[in-house]
Amino acid sequence: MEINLKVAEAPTRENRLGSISGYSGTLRDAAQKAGCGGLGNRERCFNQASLCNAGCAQGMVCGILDAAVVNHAPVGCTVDAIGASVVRKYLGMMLGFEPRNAQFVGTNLNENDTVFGASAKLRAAVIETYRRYHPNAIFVSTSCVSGVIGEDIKSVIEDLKPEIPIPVIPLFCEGFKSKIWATGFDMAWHALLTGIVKPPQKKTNVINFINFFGSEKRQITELFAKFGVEPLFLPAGTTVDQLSRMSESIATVSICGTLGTYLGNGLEKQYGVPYVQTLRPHGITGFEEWLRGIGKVIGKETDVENYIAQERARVLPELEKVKQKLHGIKAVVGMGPGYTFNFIRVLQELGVETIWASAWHFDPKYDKGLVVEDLDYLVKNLPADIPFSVSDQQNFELMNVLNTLKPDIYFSRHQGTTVWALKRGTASVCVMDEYTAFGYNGTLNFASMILDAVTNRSLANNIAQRTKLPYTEWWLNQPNTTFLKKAEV
Amino acid sequence: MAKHIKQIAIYGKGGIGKSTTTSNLSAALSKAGYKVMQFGCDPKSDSTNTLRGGKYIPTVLDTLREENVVKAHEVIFEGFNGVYCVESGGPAPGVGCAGRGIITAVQLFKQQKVFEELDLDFVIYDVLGDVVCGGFAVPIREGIAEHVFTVSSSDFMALYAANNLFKGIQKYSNSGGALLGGVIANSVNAPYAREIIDDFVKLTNTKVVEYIPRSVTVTQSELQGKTTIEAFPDSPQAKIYTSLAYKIAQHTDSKSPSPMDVKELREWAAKWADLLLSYENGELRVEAHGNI
Repeated sequence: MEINLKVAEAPTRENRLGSISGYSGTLRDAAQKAGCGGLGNRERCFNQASLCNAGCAQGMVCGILDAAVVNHAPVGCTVDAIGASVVRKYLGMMLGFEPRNAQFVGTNLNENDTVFGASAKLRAAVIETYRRYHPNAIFVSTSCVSGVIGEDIKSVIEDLKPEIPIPVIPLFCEGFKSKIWATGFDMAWHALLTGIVKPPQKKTNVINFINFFGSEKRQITELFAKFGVEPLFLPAGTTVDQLSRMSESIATVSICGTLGTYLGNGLEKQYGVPYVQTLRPHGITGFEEWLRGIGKVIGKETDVENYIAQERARVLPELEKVKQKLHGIKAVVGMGPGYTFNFIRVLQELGVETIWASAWHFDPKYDKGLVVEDLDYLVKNLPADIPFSVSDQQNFELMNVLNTLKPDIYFSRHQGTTVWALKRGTASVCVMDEYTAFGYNGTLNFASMILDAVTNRSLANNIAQRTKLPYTEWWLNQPNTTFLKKAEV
Repeated sequence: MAKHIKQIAIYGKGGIGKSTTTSNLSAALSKAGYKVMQFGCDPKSDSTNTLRGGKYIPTVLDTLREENVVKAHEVIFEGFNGVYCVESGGPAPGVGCAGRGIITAVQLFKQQKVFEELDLDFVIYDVLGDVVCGGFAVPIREGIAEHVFTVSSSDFMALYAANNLFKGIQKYSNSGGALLGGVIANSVNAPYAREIIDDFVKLTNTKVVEYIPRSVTVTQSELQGKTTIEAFPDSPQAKIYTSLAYKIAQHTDSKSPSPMDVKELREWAAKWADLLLSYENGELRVEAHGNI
């Protein structure tokens, strides 16, 4: 399905890209099925965990410095404000803006509201939010409750136009809509594209840099300056005004293919801003292809080549030394699909063999029908196929895999995910920072990180000795696909 | 330039003849050469029956329940004379939330750009009788139907329902919602029926688009699983539906209605009750004597 900015709400990942949350097979099999349209989703008859896409949707817009969120929801959903505020303060300290709470308001829907509707409440909440915080944009996010009772968010917003002079934009993120949390990203991007981004007035030398947090801001700004361009890390740490001018940028890149596909492709479709879709800049191959992709778009190919040659000379000899110590290490990777494929490539470059890949969900393609380049690369370049499961973060499945395969190391990316691996004695590295293994220095540091984790296993060993896992022997002896139903194609 | 698709919503009290009227309207428009889609918005999913030989079609929501992802084309079925039939479906009586069902079904179609692909001239939403929650108002809301027509008889409860509907339309009229095209007066047989409806529309700032009598031809057609247009195309009833279709095809200016408040409505009804009594003065008095 194409990106359609004329509707108020983006389609879910499942509907738009055919994304799935249940699969077990191999990387090549998944890629092949994705290509020929034969990739079906396998439902689970037992689910231990899931995540609401509202977290992703609201998380994205909470980072905008001068925006506020009004969550039309019962107070339980508005608990997302806590996480948003923690991240916001952390980002403030890291990136140099005011470390305060996110401006996140909830309408506290209760039983009466479900019966009589809550338009008046929403209206009052938006007015008060504007009065208190004077934001430059307000996102009105929805919830399961507001969705079931059919609350007419758009009408309320329309009615408020004469009173509130800033953009008030609906952000449709009802939890029941999608099993895939990444749908939330798409909803947030859709809100930006339809409510904030304005037609370009001029062309700038800014590169839109879609990412999560922006820890490498300083280094990347220096890097880009060499080529006469300037990165705008978004959405966290930007202003509404900056976002409104994304259409004027010279290009868009995204640290994660899964994260950025809707926005990058949307900006290209609507405003002609080229979306540089290459391997992600993790590891040497990825970084070089990425930089070359950017160089091509901004017309600085030669400068990029010179830079690459220089850096290779500096870093590669060091990297070889560490690589030798990593030879023969076997790993299991469990992350979002973009990062899982990305990091398998990085590990392969470092001589670490991935013996199982697990992605939380799987996009058979990106918007504009484009192939998932990080997967495509693996299919073409890996010496052997890798077993691959799409696990929707089911911890019990992952523990089963770790127990069977007993890898030397486990890589994951989300809070708490490596804790369980440690509890069963598997050395783990939590690749929480999105810029881990970014570029030459990053790759070198990552290699050292791996070396440390496999050399000193005392944390994993000590914890495992003192922990009784809640999984039964029975379960640990089953195939990990036991609770996956047949695929529906 | 993209063709402007006329999107119409038909509302009215349950059982008043919306689906009958809508199906005949779709059939007549189709015979006049237009490409029409009829979109049933009722969990009973029976709006398009008479365009499909009395058969029920698989609904959008049932298909979604089985398959998780639905392509709009899977739930569009061709009926009489090529009219495209869609039923949104919904839960069984007493469970779930039909209103939410309408939202989900309509959105599916909006997101898939189906209407343009089918090169439609008309999309007609046949919506369940009483607009009891947010979901049922979805076709009136901005971006879906432009014109609403309400089917009503001269019975007080039907007019009350129409008046209620007018309140909904008035509410959405400021935010780009659909406007009222007029009233389709159904089952208009008794002499006073016309006058009552005429008076009602005068007070509520709208008009009657067509007067449709109750006719056994319609019943006969429905029992055959057909519209009157299909079963008895040369009948007087078919001619009336054709006239309605023509008027709706030409219709352009809808407006915001002026619903009466409850007190006004009751007083108006009471006035008519008195009038009716005096109308039938002679007959009624005689019968009354007989009973005493």
